[in-house]
Formats: sequence, C-alpha cells, structure tokens
Amino acid sequence: MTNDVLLRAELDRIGAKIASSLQRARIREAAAARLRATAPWLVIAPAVAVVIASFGRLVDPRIGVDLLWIAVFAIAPTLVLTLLAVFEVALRLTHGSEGLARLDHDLRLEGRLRAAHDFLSRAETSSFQRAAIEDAVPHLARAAAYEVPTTRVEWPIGRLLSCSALAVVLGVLAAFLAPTEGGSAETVGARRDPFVAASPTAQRRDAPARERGPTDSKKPEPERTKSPGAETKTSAAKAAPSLDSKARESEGKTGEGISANATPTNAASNSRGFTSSQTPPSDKTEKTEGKPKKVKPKKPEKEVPTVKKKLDSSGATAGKGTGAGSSKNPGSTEWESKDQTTSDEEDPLTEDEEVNDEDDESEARGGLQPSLRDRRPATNRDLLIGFGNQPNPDANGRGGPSEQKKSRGVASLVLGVPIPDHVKGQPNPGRTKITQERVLPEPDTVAPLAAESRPPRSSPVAARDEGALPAEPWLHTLVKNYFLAARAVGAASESSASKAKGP
Amino acid sequence: MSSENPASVASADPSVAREQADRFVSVHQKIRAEVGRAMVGQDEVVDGVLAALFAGGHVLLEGVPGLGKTLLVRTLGQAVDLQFSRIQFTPDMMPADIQGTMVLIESEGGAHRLEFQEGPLVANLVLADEINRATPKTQSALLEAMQEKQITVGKRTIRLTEPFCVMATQNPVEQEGTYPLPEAQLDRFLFKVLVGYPREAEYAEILRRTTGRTDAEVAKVSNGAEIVELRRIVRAVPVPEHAETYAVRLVMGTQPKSGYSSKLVDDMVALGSSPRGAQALLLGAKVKALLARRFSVAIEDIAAVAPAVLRHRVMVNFRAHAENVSVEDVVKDVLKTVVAPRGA
Repeated sequence: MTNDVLLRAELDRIGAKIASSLQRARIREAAAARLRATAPWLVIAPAVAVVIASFGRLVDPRIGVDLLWIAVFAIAPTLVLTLLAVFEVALRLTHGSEGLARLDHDLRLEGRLRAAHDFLSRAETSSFQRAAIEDAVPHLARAAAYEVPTTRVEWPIGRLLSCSALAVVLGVLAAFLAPTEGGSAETVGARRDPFVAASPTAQRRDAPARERGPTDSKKPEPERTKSPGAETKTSAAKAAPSLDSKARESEGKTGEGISANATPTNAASNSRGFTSSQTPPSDKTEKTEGKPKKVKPKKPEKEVPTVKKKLDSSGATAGKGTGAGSSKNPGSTEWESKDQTTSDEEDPLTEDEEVNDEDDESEARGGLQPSLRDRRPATNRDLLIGFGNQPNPDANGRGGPSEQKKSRGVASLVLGVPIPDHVKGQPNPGRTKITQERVLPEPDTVAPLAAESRPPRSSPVAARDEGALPAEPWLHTLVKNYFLAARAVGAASESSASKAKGP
Repeated sequence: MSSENPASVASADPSVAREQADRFVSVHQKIRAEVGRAMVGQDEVVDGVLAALFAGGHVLLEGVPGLGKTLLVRTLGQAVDLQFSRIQFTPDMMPADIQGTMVLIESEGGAHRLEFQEGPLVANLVLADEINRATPKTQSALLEAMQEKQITVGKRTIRLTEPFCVMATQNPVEQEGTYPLPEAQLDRFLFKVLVGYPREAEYAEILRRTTGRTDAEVAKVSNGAEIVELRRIVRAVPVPEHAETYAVRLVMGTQPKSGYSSKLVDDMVALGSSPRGAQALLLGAKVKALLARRFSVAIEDIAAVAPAVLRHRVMVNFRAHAENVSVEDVVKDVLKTVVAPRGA
C-alpha cells in the first residue's frame, strides 16, 4: 500500500507539472489570439474622432476632440478584452490527469499512466488492475524527465504596429481637423462631451464666449442657411400650420377621413424639433404643376399648390382621405423624410380623375412603378392540351406530358430515382369475368387435437397377419363362399367352352 | 492453468492476469494461423470475426459473392472444433425451418409421439448466409436466439450451448427481392465487417490453394470450453474512467442534437447508436487491449473498433442519401469531432 501511495504521489506530481506547462501555453495562446482579433479596434476610436472633428469643423465649432481621450478609447477595448481572455483561460484549471493524458499521447504509452492513476485511486483492485499499474511503473522515469515542447506563439506584432500607426495617423488628423476658434456660451454642454474642452485652449476659448450675449449665437445661423436642406426646412416650417388646417378639412371618398382633430402622419411633427419637407426633383414638380391645370378643371381651394405635389410625391395618404391607394416609390425622391411633407395644397382625386390620372400618378411617382389598378393576371405559359385550361385526358400524350406527369418527372429528377407511373385500373361497365377468385380461409371452430393426449392405436396399422382372423366369422364365411362360387362358375364355363370346340 | 476466477475482485495478484493474458494471446494466434491456412489475406475480416467470437457477440459480414465469407466461418468452426451449421436463407423460409419444429415420430409398438426436431440454429457457430433474403418473420426468429441464447418453440425452450455465435452474411449488390435487416436485429450484431476484394498479390495464392490438387487441412487447436474461458478473461479486463467516458461520448456523438454531435450528424443522421453501441465498443476494445498485451482499455482501442461497431448502428436520413454522404463519412466525422475527456 505504501508503494501505491508513493506511486500515486509521483503520478500526481508529474501530471501537475505537465498541466501547469499546458496552462501557461494556453494563456499565451489565448492572449495572442485575442490581440490578433482586437488589434483593428485600435483604429475605431481615432476614426470616430476624425468624424466628430470633421463634423465640428463643418457644423459646430464647439465640438472638438481631445487626443488623450482618443488614446484611452483606442487602447481600452483591446486591453480589456485581452485581459478577459487571459482570466478566462486561467480560471479553467488544468488538472493533473490532463497532464498524464498528454504524456500518454506524446510518449505513446497508450493510456498506461492515466489508467494506473485511475486504478490507484480505487479501494480494491483486481489482478488485471494491478498488472496495469505495474505496467506503468517502467515508464515513470521517462515521464518525469519529459518536458512539453513549447509551441511557438505567433504574437500579432505586425498587425498591432500597423493598426497603431493607423490609429496615430487618424488621431493626428482628428486633432488637425478639430476647430480651433469659436467659443460659445454652451461650453458646459461641451465639457460634458469627453472629446471637448479639457484642454486649456478650449477653456480660453470659452472664457470670452461667456462675455458675449445671446445675440452672438445667431452668427452661425447664416452659415447654416447655406446648406442645401436649410431652405426646404424653413419653408417647411412656414408651411406646417397650413398643412394641419388643411388636413383637418380633407375629405376622402367616403368621408371617413373627416376628423376634427385629425392630423396626417406625414405632417410636420413638432416633437421632432425641426421640420423637413420632401422636395421632388425640380423637373418633375414643374411638370406636375403644369399638368393638373389641363386635366383637372375642378379643384378645391388652391391655397398652397406646392404642398399637394409634395404630398403626392411623398406617397403618404394618411389623413388625406384619398382612397386611391397610391404607392409611391420613395426612391424617386430625395433623402428628406417622407412623413414630414410640408405641402400646402391638397387635392383629393375623384373616381373620374382616378381613371384619367393614371399617367399623372405614375409620372408623379417618377414613373418607376406600374399602377396597381392594372391587375391583369399573368399569362399562363404552361404547355396545355385540351380545352382551355383543362387538360384533355384523351390526348394520348400529344401536346406534351400532363400536369401529373410533369410533376412526377420533376420529382424523379430531384430525387434521382425513377418514379414509375401508376395506372389505376378501372373495370369497364358490364359483366366481369373472374378467372381467379381468392377464397379466404374460414376459421374452424373445432378444438385442436392434442396429439400427445391421444391413446395409442389398439390395432396394428400395417398389413394383417394371415393367421389373424376378423372378429366376425360370418363375414369370412361369406367371402369364402363367394369366391368358391365364383371359381365354380368359372370352371363350368371353361368346360362348356372346351366341349363346344370338340375333338 | 490458474484456478483463479478472473472476475474476482479480491484477487490482486498481477501474475494471474499476466498468465491469462498470455494464454489468450497464444490461443488467438494459433486459431489465427489455422484460419490463415485456408483463408488468404482478409486480415481485418479475420481479426474482426475472431474479436466478435472472443467478445461473445455476433458479426455481420457484408460483401459481394465469392470473397470467402462462408469459407472463413467454416474454417473457423473446424479450427475451434465447434458445431457448425449453415443456413442459406431464401424468401420462402419459415421460422420453423431454422428453429426446429415438432415432428410426428413412430415409436415401437405403433405408438406415435411428437418430438422436437432441432433446426440448424441449434449449433455453436451458425452461418446465416444471405440473411437479407429471408422474410422479416424469419429474421426475427433469430432475434431471440442471438440475444437470449435460447429458442422458444411452442412451450419448449431450448438453451443454446455456449459458445454461440451467429455470423451472418449479406450481399450489398443484390437488392431486388431482399428485406433489409430491421434496426432491432442490426443492433444485436457486435460488429459489421466489410469484406472487400483481395489484393493482387493474394490472387496467386488463392488460385494455388483452391485449384490445386490438395485442399488445406485445418487442425483443431481449441475447443468450445476454452473459448468460453477466454471470453471470461476478456470480460475481466478493466476499463478506466476516461476510456468509458470516451466510449459514451462517441455513442452520443452519433445521436443528433446531443451535446457531442457535430453539424454533419445533426443534419444527416436520422437515428444514432443505442447504448448497445457503447457495450460493443468496450467489449471490442478489451479484446484489442489484450492482443496488444495491455491490461486495461485505452482510448486508442476504442477508436480502433469504433468503425466496425458504429457503421450498422447509425441510420442516415434522406438528405444524406441525396448529398451522397455515407455512414462511413458520418462515423469518421464523429471520431474526428469527439475528443477524449481531458480530466476530471
């Protein structure tokens, strides 16, 4: 038993040594793998900083970037994730038995060490188990001296360097793009932004801004109005109230759209803080403005002609009360929100106008979609034989295979197996000649004979002995007399025949 | 010979185990040599058949006609001096034809009695030729014999004498008019061994032996009692915990949606192996371990017998047939995917 204890301890020691080597190797591999995967993330924060700096430069000079924060946000994710991967591997302990398994594999011991360790931990061992334990002892010295070959870990140095260089370049670019002038009274809000105003230059910038009044805030506004969308926004803001009132007055074909407080979903939303409008291409708006004058002689109040066209092009119908159900192609208009149209004219279409205005609508939509009223069924291009759409069963295959055959053929091609035709037989009317009749056996109610229970025969089965006479002697006498009589008759006939012949 | 019961746990003398292992290897080599006198090549097939015989299981041989399947089993029966019977299955065969039936016998004095006439199934080595030609009713008549080692005919129950081993053959080419073996019966075969064509170098020896003047004579080198003893020795081989876990994981790896199944198994397998597969893995691995002169089962032994154990226990679905994924591919994938347990 003492030997067993020592042997077990030695196996534990060897296993633990190999296990710790394996653990260290795994940690290195995990760290390298995670660094390889997260190295590109170094570039994300500087790239975002470049975007913010560009935005600040173009739009709001209050928004700036800080190189320190860029560096922190660039390095932090990679570092944190790598450390997490390392901890995850470190927490998964490598057991000594795994070390023994590795030794068995590398030294080609076919599980001897691990089996010996398993059997030594059992209370009782059989002869085979003891033999297995003894079988492992000669290999202990070799196992103790074995060192796990260190696998070369490929650290992603190149990738890290390249990503770091790119991150530095982007950071410098962001710092270059960051606006240097223009302070504002809202430096408090800017300070909340980590990219802004931690630097002394930002503070100096803010200080003179505090002395300025609120009027100075209007200075950037002229720059804003120069942007392409600004004009439409202002016009949309002006047009918003008229749209609301117009929407309330709108009626549909059935009048269901009437609602005292109804507002269209496409109306300019005050909650959004600013209004936007949809401006169709200028060419098309001119066309649409011109055409209604020709085709639509009757019109309600034309208070805001432009709104109607914008509404038409927006594709929004809620609140307008039109039952036409036009589906506009959003792609035909600009990027402004469709739901925030600021058109000031509304012209619900009547039935007559719907028929005549198909072309108008499709053109207003940019001509990209067909009218939904044109709903003719698709042409049936199937190979049909017979009468109309019904197959003729008497065609005898002329005109091609039937639907059923085609379906079966496709299925057989897909499956790769032949699917034979199944022909259902149908008896012709009239008398049917049955040449073969199947007769089902009827169960017999007779009790089964038990062969073993039958008594043996009382009389022999084979031929009788001549000496054994029947029990009825009169029968024997009768048969004997019959044969005697037959012999006598035969003899008499022979004698008469011989006499007739004569000498 | 040692009188120790190898199954006894109290005995801890390793010399007994060594002696028994040596004896096992010696008898195995003798039988192998004798079978090799009549059988040329087919080493894997012969090893598989012998492993099934010593493990106490049945074996299914699949191969085209003319590869020596019947010769192998007959030669084995001669070498081990076991009662050998051959059943050629046909579609019109009834269960009574193989199990036996009651016949009317005339005794002295004109009496008649019913006597049970044993069928060819009552033997030690049963060669069931072309088992897939028999009807399912007849095939199921083998089920009880193979599993319970007994036959029940009416009220009579006949225990089959040990060692009892069914070696069935089937032809993979002739599928017309055949009845595929049901899963319940397939599961009762320990191994399924594929018999392939001989190598070019073996053809000359085959022709010389089979077309010459004299046939090879096979000597009896063992007997039924010794085979039974060797079976007990095989069962005495211990299995470490990690090897047992590996066998279980292999079997679970063939079952779709289990924790150890791969994507290929989930997509292509309709039915995985049952726990009988794990039993077969361990029994086959024990024979392998003894032949390698080891005293415990290793993971390598289990992996070596896994293809023969699993190939007839895994049923692929229609998608596998459509995408030409065979059972062999699935078993290889399972062996590649399932890793041995690292440590408790």
